[in-house]
Amino acid sequence: MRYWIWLALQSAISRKGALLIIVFSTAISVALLLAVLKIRDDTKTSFTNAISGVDLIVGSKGSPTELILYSVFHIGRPTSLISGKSIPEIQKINQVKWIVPIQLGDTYRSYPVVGTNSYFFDSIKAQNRSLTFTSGQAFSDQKDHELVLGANVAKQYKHRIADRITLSHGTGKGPAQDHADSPFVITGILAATGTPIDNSVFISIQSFNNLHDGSKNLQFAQLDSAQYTAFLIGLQQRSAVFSVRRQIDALKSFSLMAIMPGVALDELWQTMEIAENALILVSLGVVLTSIFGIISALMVSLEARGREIATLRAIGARPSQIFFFIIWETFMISLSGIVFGWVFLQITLLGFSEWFMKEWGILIQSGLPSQNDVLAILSILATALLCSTLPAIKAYRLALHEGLNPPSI
Amino acid sequence: MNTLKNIIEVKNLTFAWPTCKPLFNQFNLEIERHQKTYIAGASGSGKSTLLNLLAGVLDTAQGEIWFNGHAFHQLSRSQKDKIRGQEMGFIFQQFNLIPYLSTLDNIILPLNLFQSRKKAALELFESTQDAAVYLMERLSLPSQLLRQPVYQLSVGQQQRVAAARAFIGNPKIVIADEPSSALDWENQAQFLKLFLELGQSQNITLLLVSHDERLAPHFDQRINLPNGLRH
Repeated sequence: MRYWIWLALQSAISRKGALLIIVFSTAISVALLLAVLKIRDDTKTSFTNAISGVDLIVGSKGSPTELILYSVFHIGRPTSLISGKSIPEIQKINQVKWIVPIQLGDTYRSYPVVGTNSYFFDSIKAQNRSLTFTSGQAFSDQKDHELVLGANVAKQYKHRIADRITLSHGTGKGPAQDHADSPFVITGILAATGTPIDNSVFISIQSFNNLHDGSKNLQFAQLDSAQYTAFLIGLQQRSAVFSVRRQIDALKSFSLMAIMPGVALDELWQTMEIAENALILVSLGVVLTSIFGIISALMVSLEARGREIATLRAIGARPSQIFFFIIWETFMISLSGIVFGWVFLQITLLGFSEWFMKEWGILIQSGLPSQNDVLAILSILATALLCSTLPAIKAYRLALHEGLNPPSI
Repeated sequence: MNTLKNIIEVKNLTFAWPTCKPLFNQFNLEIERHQKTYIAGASGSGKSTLLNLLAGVLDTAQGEIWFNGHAFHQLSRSQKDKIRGQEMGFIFQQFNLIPYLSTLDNIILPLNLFQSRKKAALELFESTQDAAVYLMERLSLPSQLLRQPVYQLSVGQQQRVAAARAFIGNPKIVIADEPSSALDWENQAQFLKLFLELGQSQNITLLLVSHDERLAPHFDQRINLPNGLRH
């Protein structure tokens, strides 16, 4: 058996030019499939980890998916805001441990500005870890014009503590949209988390309201009258989540909706499933095409290998050994295609992970193949082996019927 | 088993390809051990069919084929494959070397596929390579060719590599099918001489199938195939 493996290897090496192209095309298709799986999985993980520690998100009544997208991922915008007067009502609900308000709408050079309070930095967790500052500290809720930068924002513009920066109203496009009259001072820079927090700029509720109110002396007590995009809520015990959600939904005169982030994300994935499946289907098609490429190359090469097979037969090789000889070749080609594809993907991911983080807030990690990857790889290998029975059967027949007389060339 | 006088005995063989007239009808053949036999076979005479039957690649339909005490007409295909690999050596018209292997790897191919042949070679030589080098010397092949890919060899050299591969590991019989038709007469004569000498010195039965009557006088026995024309 070991000799046959060696012989198949020698045979493959002698045709390395053609086979390398096949290996390369297999590698690309495998890399494509694994990339789709990888991005899908890591997107989900990134989204889920971005809001760990938050038990409920409260917003105005509407679509839960939209609420989670605009409040946590800063994608899209709310159709209506919620009143700050509801905060004391929610705080009264048993089991509510903390409530962090969020205001959105402004930007700093295309990065979203989040108006919140300093509890945000103590309460919110990203990737199941508490937020930490690489330098400086949280802004003071009482002081105006202080701000905290997410890791990417600080890195992109090389900002340091005590730098002064100007925020833009809305998306910052169009003339006279800058809040140039009120520059902010950086008090802290957050450590990278691999979540949308890295791409955000944080200011206090106070500052946010002052930017938009003419009167500059709004007191903390008056914040109740402000409008908010959403509240993030943490509970004493997670098990109370259903009852708290019911009680918030039932708060009359506020028209609130409380959602569980995990459930809302699941709904989001369900709506994305069609696109996701289409992508996977296309990648599978590409993989299948390259497997057919391997098989057709083998079929064609068999035409020229009649003499080789007749020789092996004359020396006493059984047709079953010839069969194995061909199957083994497919195995070598597909396995090296898979290995090259995987390595190629890891290198590409390493190169692009920063871009993914910056553009999409998705943390793509290169590393050992996941369970799904292994499953995909094994199925590719199994399909390749299954398809390779075609040329193997052809070789077997050739071995059986052509006998010692090779077809003359 | 080795006391049997005949290494090959064909008794009452009848064989026909589908929809064809029988190639062999009650055909008998005896080949004595250690003899040199010449089988005269023009094209269409059933020469290839006979070789495939003797090699156990084709199944015997009617009649008996005995090889070295093995009843080929009763054995399974894989049993016959094994016996062929262990006890027979073949030299083809086209030489049929494995193009991607070196001269050495081509010659020792049968040793790697069959332990009994490797054992036989290692009884006389320190290594399989020594066994190959010895045969190369006997066949006037320069030993520098040892590591060269066979496709770089000349036609005459390729033929000798094919012969070395047939003789290595002490087979009971070496069967040559038109082994010299690709060579000019001078080289043919030279090759035939080495072929016969090697068989003689190693006590191996030789069987040569050819339509070149000029070769016949060098053999102990001559057999004519019954059929001149196929179909």
